[in-house]
Order: sequence, then structure tokens, then C-alpha cells
Amino acid sequence: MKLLKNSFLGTVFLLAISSTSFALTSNENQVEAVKRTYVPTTLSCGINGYSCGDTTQEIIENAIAIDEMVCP
Amino acid sequence: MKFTSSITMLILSFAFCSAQELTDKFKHKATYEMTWQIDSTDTESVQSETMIFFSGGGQSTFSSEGQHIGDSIQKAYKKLERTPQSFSEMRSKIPKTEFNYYITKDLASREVSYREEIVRDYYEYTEDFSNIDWRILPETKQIAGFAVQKAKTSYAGRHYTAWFTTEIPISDGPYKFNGLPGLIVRIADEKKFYVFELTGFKVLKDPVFDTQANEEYLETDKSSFLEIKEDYNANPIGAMEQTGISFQFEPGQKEKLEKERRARLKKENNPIELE
Repeated sequence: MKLLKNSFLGTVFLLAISSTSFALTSNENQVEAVKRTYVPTTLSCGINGYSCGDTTQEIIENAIAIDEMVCP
Repeated sequence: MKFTSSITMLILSFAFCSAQELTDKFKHKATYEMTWQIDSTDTESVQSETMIFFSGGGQSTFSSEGQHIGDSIQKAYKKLERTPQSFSEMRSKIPKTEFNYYITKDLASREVSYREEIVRDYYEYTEDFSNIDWRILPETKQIAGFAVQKAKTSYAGRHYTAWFTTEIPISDGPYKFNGLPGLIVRIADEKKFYVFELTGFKVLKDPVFDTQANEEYLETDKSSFLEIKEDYNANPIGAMEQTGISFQFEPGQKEKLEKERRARLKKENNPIELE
């Protein structure tokens, strides 16, 4: 826990789900970029960074997930 | 396939340090394909998702496969040394799901518990299904290689037709449905807005992740839970900010996200439970 928190203190976090950064279209040879939103975020323990996602719900879930890990 | 393999490998690599999260109480696993129409006015708005059902020891649990895999990965990860890189990698393995609930059933008491996390709180409400009124009909046929029999019931404002098989003598099924003389192989409401079809069934030889272990659930009732969820949907960012996390939106960003969210919510007008 401490290791993760200390690691994040020295940098900003950028939480994105990489597997959803791109979505395959019906033609598997084509890759369609999905627009993502990056929201500047301050975690409950004061660490700053960005929470990312395609929807508000995803951005919130990502922020909560990293907050639970970093700021218990 | 590749994605599933990588998830399986990740789970296996975590397994050694997560023995306490495993359970051998479940003896059977069934897989259902759930299809549903998100917008009741748009026949094109049909989606599908794989749902899983574990049964054993007089109990069962039902959730989306994505939820089960995601929770398994996160629980296993909590036991490991964490770095920003491993955390990001872990999050990238979590599959998307439209459903983050768990439904557990106690077959003896016929109590059904619905559990869902909203922001950081885990809520649970329980329903008594001992008075669910199944009407078993004489009609039989074959579905997916099973001899099945027809039954009808109503629940939460929808009328359902189920097909169950006594070849699998488990008095249970997908979602909250249970109480027939065998496992439900197919169940659909009369408008086919919600359809659950059995796509796999197997006897478990190895323990599985008990994804609900160690969580403290806030007991509530169904109507209170729905109010809590409605409040959250009205202002999810406000609900999140109550936990101490804050967003510093760039100009116009919040308005754009809110517009998209409201448009999406407007289309999601066809919940499985109407009352």
C-alpha cells in the first residue's frame, strides 16, 4: 500500500483502461480510435492526476478504484 | 479468446496468494447469454452479455461474467505488491460490464439477496420468493439438448415464460428466478425485452473466487435501494465528491459529459424490474 502511495506521490497518476482505448470495427483490419476524456482529478489524500474514460461512469469508477488503492 | 486467456493467466498467477479468497462451496457453474433491449422504443437497441451462475450447498450466486472476473482480479491484486505500472496493468485486464450486481439465493428459505456497490458503499436487500407463483404447464420440447418443460410466472411488472429441465435437478436459474423442479434453461418476458438462455453447464472440480467475501454490506430494502440509486444517477459526480475525490474540469468538459450522460440515461428506459 505504502509503496504504491509513495510511487504516486512523486508523479501524477493517469488512469485509463488501455484495453478500451481502441475498439475494433466490423473490419478487423481497421482500428477505430475511441475518443476518451481526461479529467484532472485530486484524490482524497491530495494526490493529483487524471482520471480517464469514455463515459462519466467510467471516469468515476476509475477515480474511485485508484483512490481505494492509494488512499485507504 | 486471446483476452480471455490473458485474464485466466492473470487470475492463475494471483491464485497462490489468494487462497483465502477461494471457495469450494460451489459445485456447479452455468453460463447464460442475456439479451436485453435497452430502449423499449428502439428495437435496434439490443445488447447481450454473458452471465454466470454458481450453485452448491443450497446456495447460488448470479452475476455478469465481467463483474466476477473484474472482482476476482481486483481482490487478487490487493494481496500483491502494488506499483503504478502493475495497477494500470491490473485495471486494463478488467472487462467491461453493464451489470455490477450480485444476486445470491438460499434455496431452503427461498430468500433472494440483491447486492450492488454504489460509489464506495455495498448495499444489500433481501426478498422472500417463497410465494412466487409458478404455473407449470404440460408443454415440453428440447432446448440445447435438454428435455424442457414450460412454466409461467410474473415478477416486478413483467410476465415470463420459462423452460426448465429436470435433467439438472437444481431448483434455480438466472437473475432472481428460482423454485421450479429443475434448472431454468431459458426464460423470457412476453415482449422478449429480457431473455436468458443457458449456454453452458459444468460440474466444478476446482474452487472458484468468492468475489463477495470480506465485504460489509449495508442492509436496506428494495424501495430504499432504488431511491439511493436514483439519487446517485441524478448526480453521480456529486456522490463521488462526497468521498473526498474531486474533479477539476476544464472549461465545458463537465457540461459535455453531463449532456452525454443524460442522453444515455434517457435511452435506458427499459429496466428488468418495472415495479
